[in-house]
This record gives sequence, structure tokens and C-alpha cells, in this order.
Amino acid sequence: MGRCLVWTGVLLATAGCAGPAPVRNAVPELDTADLAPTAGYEALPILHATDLLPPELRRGPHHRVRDAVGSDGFLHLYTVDSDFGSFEAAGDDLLRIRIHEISALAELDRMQKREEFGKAMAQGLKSPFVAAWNLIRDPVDSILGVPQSAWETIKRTAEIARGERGELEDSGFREFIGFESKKRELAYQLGVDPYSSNRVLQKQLNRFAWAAYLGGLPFALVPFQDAPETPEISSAGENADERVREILRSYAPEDLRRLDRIELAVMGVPAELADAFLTHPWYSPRHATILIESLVALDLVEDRASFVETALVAGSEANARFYQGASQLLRAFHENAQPLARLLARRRTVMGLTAEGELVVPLILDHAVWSRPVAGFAARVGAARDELGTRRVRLLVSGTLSERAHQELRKRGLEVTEHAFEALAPAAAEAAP
Amino acid sequence: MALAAALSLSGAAVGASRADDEPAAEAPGAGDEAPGAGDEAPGAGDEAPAEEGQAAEPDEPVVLDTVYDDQRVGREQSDKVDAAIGVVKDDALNAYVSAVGKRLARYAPRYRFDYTFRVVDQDEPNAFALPGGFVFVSRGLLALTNSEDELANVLGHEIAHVAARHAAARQQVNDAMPGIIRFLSMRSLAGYSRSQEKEADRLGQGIAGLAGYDPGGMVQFLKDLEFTERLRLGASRRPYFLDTHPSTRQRAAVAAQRARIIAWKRKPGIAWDRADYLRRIEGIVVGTSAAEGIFRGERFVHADLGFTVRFPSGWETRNTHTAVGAVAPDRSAQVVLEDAGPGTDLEKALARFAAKAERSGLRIESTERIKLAGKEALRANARVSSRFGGVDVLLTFLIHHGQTFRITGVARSEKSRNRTLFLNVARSFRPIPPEMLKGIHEDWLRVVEARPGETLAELSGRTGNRWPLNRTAVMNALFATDALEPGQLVKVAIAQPYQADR
Repeated sequence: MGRCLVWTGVLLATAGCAGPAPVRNAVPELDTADLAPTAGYEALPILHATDLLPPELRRGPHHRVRDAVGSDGFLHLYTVDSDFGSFEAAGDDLLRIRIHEISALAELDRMQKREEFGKAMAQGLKSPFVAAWNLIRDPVDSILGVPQSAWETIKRTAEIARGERGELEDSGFREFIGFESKKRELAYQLGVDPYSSNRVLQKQLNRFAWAAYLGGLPFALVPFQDAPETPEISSAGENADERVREILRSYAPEDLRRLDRIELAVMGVPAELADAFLTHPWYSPRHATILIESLVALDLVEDRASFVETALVAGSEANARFYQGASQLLRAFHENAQPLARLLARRRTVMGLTAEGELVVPLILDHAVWSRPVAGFAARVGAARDELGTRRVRLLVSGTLSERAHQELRKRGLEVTEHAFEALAPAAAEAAP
Repeated sequence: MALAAALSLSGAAVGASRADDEPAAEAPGAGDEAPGAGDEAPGAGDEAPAEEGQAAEPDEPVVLDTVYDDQRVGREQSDKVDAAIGVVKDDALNAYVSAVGKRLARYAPRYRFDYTFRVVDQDEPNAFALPGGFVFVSRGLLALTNSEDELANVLGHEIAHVAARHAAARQQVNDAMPGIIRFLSMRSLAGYSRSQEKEADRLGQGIAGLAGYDPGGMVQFLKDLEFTERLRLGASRRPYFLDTHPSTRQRAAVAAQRARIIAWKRKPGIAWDRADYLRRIEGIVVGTSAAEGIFRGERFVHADLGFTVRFPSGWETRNTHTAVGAVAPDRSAQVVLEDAGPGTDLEKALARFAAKAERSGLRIESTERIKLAGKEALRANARVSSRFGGVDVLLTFLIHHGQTFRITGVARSEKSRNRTLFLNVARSFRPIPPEMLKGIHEDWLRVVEARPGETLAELSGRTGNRWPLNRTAVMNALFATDALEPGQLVKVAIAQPYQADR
């Protein structure tokens, strides 16, 4: 674990943080470098967890969210102290995930103290897998120590032979020997993402999966039988979320990539572009699956390839989460509000166009004030509206905007829907006249 | 009817559902619609009628927790498909279909499955897949297709079912009827859900496209299927709630839209062109295979086994690989002729059957030795309880050419008049007279060239085509009034004298 970086816009110097390295532009289409308050724009507010989060989220048996909350202008930047180290989370959504992961870590910690786990680990250490020895000792980092000969004995398809694996994905070797499926099953039972960027969680998942795989630790010991899904922004409904969970549980990464390649082809994404997306370092199998499943749900909507092409600009996990969320918002709009006819992209902005000619623009953020980047974004959307000759532009914002930002956007003819996931949830759609 | 061991064809079934949509509905029973599986292809096939083992053994849930379960269960069920339906004995044809399938499978998820592809001896256009990668297409489906693109899209659809592990999500319908009378319901297992079918259509077209086939092949196949349904039913099949497939017309429309979107590049096929494709499928039997026995009115003639039997007039007859029988118009009774197991000891055959059927609540109430056509036979009266009330069962065991057969008449107790009909069926069982054997023909698919100026009707007349004009048009993706180009290849059905095994 290294020292955390400084978030753009606010100082959050935190030693020993365990989360992913933060990025400059969490929202790829809004340039955080341009956030310094200048004439005509709002200053970033000072934020406190006590104002933003319910008590049960701020503090739990194994965690406490620091009261000082940063902002990059669009996402809330939290620091969570826990029994398992400190974590940073860029966004309300990721914060919920991290807190859930801390609960899962606590359960694994409790299980680790049981006799069965010790026996399973001891049994695992007797395994003939030489490479496995190192993997058990240092489950996260030792994959690089796998002897070359072990690789050579593995007759893999071109998928693995290419060696193009994502930043957040485990190694093909471990999948080959069955470890990875145990890990996916364990993650499913815990309700966490097997491809989470939380290294502490990864280490514990690996340790338990090895104990299960080599030492016969039964999963029945895992207590989270009724674990909820990893908290995830979505309004696609429980069935869609469950489908993603099942896909991640059922498919090995290589198989998942093959499935995704078919889905991308079906939506008209050329092979080269599909390959670029599926080997993108910041789209974990989970991010890619949610994004692709959302685009699949836009069945027969034209030019979904433009979304995939735009999503390639992601330079961080936060960016990947942004495009994942944008795809989910478009899906929610398509399924619960008004069918989309085609997708399009301008610069880094992805949009949908309805058959009636309305432009729909998803924006994933926690809170934004009227700033130069937001003004620039509004100008780009306005230009797209003029170019397309559309009458109406709907801005779907996953979080909230300041009153000033509201006014300015309204002046520019952009209709804003805040808390768009909740607004577009199926129940709300049914209740609508 | 080849009288091999039978199975529940879709025994691929069950396990914890991972389906995300509406629960899988039970496929419509044979009593609900016209027979035939044209509406069911591709997808779950008709279930073979119950055989004696099935009659007695309760359905055990097949658990498909993992891909390893899929492979194990699929392998077991695949063997049973071979026995129950039979694989077309044409190595070149099977090798060709397999080559197309293997090429598609290279692009499938779960590439560790050892996908296999075989042609089953079934006249209805049908395709189905078992867990673990065992894919079957019927000869009837092959006869309907006109290009490798169409075949590839159908195989892609089945591969998608396998890869998505849809079988693991299928719900087994617990048929409360004792297995012995399951012939009535034909399909006791749920089909895929609508969303699974849509997913398989979508992924199937995608797999075909990635493998270098035109995704539009799915559109053409579905149109062929739609026209076949119209021919069979006199109209396009009406969708209704229990359907597991979306309507064929709707599927074709969606597939056409999707085919225009899919990113794909043409690669050379296994067959060079349409002509090569048609040559590869030429010679397959179309219509009922005489090797399975044929019906002439109510009379069933099995040339290979050398017997004939007459079923009640006006009853709906059915012939499958494992059994032949008839169902009363009001569905209150049925009579089925099946293999009764090894040996020629009638008492032992009855004892075997009774031991198994006892578990389904069947009780043998009396037995008697009788003579049928001058030969020893054994008759047994039995009763069984079902959720519909008491059911009378009349069993007749007889020996023919060293093989023991069982004729099972089943009727609800209040329909006791059927007993006479069952007795008449047993009495009608006899060896085939030589003159009857000579008159048995079966139809083979032939490919002929149109002559200049020839119409489809004229071509049919010239070649002795046994298909009616409309059927010929559908099988060739033509309209009956279409002008034929000189040299245009046309599929026709030509009668061939059947050479019985004995």
C-alpha cells in the first residue's frame, strides 16, 4: 500500500490508503483542471460526511467515514477508516461498495479464525502445486513468480496466449487450475465483486479461495448466504442486476470476453474496436459486463458502437465507472421512459436520441456547481442539439446540481433530471401517468 | 419406431434457475396443438414417449450446478438421444454438419466444452442442444434449409443455449401423471423461456457473424419455418401464453433488423456455394422414414421388424423412434406398442414391467394366457391412480421374430368401452404379407436442375416430385408462381423403394 495521492481540488493526504490511485478527471467529459473559481462561477462547497450520509453509512461496527469530504467538482471524495486499513472512495456509489466490502472483510476475518480455515490452509500448503505455494503465501502479488514452465504446460487458446488481460483481472494460470471459479463463487456468496480494485479484499478472497480449492474449505462455512448484491447504482431492476451477478459468477474471464465479443458484434461494434474495449486496462470484467449488458438491453438501437468507442478514453477506474453508469442510465431511460432510436457521441460525451428527436445525455456525478467545465459541457450539448436539430434535451444527472447550475442549464434549454436512477426506476415509471 | 431404449429427450433439463425473466412455461402438450415440431425448431424437441423404465422411475432432478455437471449430464443424455431418436447413418452428412458446427464453436463462450453436432432421424424441422455442448439438428431441418448460412445460424442458436447454460435454468415440470400414460402429454419438461430464446437468437446470429456467416441466414430460415407452419396448420401459428418461443414471424422481423446491424465479414464456407450445400444434403429421407415404420391410414407397417398392426379408426396416430401408438380424439385414451425388453419369456416381461410400474402406483389385477394369430401371448389387466382419477390399463405381451412387444391400452376408468378397441389393436398385430412389403416406399431429397422456361409445377411433374406445389415452393424458399431460371437447382422429394433389413 502506498501513500495516497492528492485529490484534485481538495487535499486529502492519507497515509496507508488501500483504494485505487485517484484520477484527475473522475468524470471524463468535465475537466477538473478548470475548476478554480473565477468570475461568474461558483466555488466548490465545503463538504462534511455528516451532511451527506445517513448515520449508518458514516459509522459501522468495522468502519468510520471521515467527516472531511473532498470533491473534484463532481464526485465526493471520501476516506474510510476501518479495521482493515483506510480506503478512499471517489463517489457516493463507490463509498457504498467499499463499506460493503469492509463488512465482507469482517466476515472473512471471523471465518479465518475458525479451526476449519486453519486446517484447510494447512491442507492447501501440502498441495503439489509448486506455484500455488507462493500464491498462498502471498496470494495477491506472487503470480509473477509462477515458473515459466508452468505457463508452457498450459495449452490455452489465443485469448490467453495474447496475454492481454485487464488491470483488475486475475491471472489465467489461476483460472486454469480452478482457483478462480472458487473465488468467483466465494465473491458471489459474499455479495462482492470478484474483480474489485480493493486490494485488501482481493487478498482475502484469494486466501479463502485457495483454502477452498486446495484445502477443501467448504463454502457452507461462508456466512453471507443471504448477502445483498454489491451496492451498485442501477435502475434496471433486480432481474438485470441478478443477471450480472450470475454472469460474473458463472463465466471465467476468458469466456466472459468471448461472450462480450459476440454481444459487441451483434450491436455492430467492429472487431478491432471490440478487442480494444475488451482488453482495456480499466474495464474490469464487472465494468465491461454491466456496460455491455446495458447496451444489449438497447436492442436494435443504432450506433451503439459510438458509445463503446467513446468509452475507450477511460483513463482510470473512475472513468470506467462513469461510462458504466452512463450506459445504465441510458438503459433505464430506454426501458422505463422513452425508447431510444440511436446513440451518438460528441467528444467524450455519450448521448441517446429518441425516435421523437429528443436528445438524452447521461451524467454520472454526486454534485456539481456551476463551473467552467460544466459551462463547457453545456455548450457542447447545446451544439449537438443545434447540429441535430432536436427540440428537447434532457440531462440525466445521477446526483444533484447546485441551484445556480440548474438555472444556468435551464437558461440554455437543458432540462435536468436529478437523481435520475431513482427517477427512472421501474416503480416510478409505472406510477407515472 | 425403432424400438430402442427411450428417454426423456429434453432431460437436459433442470437445476437452479439462473433465468432472469418470466418462469419457463410448460411447452404445449400434444393435445393442445397439431402434432409436429415445426413451431419448436430450433429449441426443445418433442419428448419421446415414455418407455417402460420411464413409466416406473420417478423423474429425478438433474442438477446442473457447474459446467462439469453440464458435460456429464449432456454426455449421458446424448447417448439416450442416439437410442431414442436415432442419428442419421450418413457419415458424410454428419461430418459436414459437424464441420460447420466446430467452426462456429471456435467463437462460442465456454470454449472448453467439446461441442459435438449430429443429425437426428426426425422429420420435423427441429434442433436442440444438451448441456455440455451436444447439439442435434433433424434431417427435416436440413431439408428445409437452402444454404450453409441458414444452417450456421441455427447451430449458432443452439450453441448459444449451451454456452449460456440455459438448460441449467430450465424448470422441470413435475408431471403428476404416471409415466405410463405420459404419451398423452408428449412433452413433460419445460422449454426455454422467451427471453432465453431471444438471447439465443441474438447470440446465435452473433456467433454466425463472427464465424464469417451471414446473420441474415437466420432470417431466411425463420421465414422458411414460418411458411412451413402455414402449410402445416393452414395459417401462421397463433402465439399464445404457453409458447416458449416468440412467434416465428416476430423472430424473423427482429432477426432481420439485427442482421443489418451486426458487424461481420464473409469467410468461405465449408460448402463452396448453394449448389455444393444442396449436394451435401441430397439423399436424406424426407417425410417418414420407412425404417421407423409407416402408417397407411390406421394401419402401421414396420418393414424392418416385419409386422403390421391396426389402430382404432379416427384416432390420432403417432410414430416415434421408440413407440407407435394412437390417442383418442377426446384425449381420454391411448394405445401404444413398444419393445418389452430382452428375451421371449412373456411372464418375465410382465414381471419386469410390473416391478417398475408399481412405483408409479400401477397394480396388476389379473393375467391370462391367450392366443394371437395362433401365437402365445399374455394379457394383464391393471389399474393406476392419477390426479385425473382411476385409469384402466390393458397390457398385452406378445412375441414376434424372437422379440417381445407390449401393447398398452390406457383409458380413464369411465371410458371402459375403449377396452374393445384395445383388444382389436392386439388382435390386428401380425407379420407383413410379402405383397405389402413390396409396396413400401420412402421419399428422398433430390436436387434437380430447372429446364429453360420450366415452371415449378412443370418441374415437379417431370421429376415425379412427391411434394405438393406449395410445399416444394417453401422447401426452396420460392413462391409457387416464381419463374425458374434455366439450371436453377430445386429440391424435390422422389419416392424410392424401401429395402427392408429383413
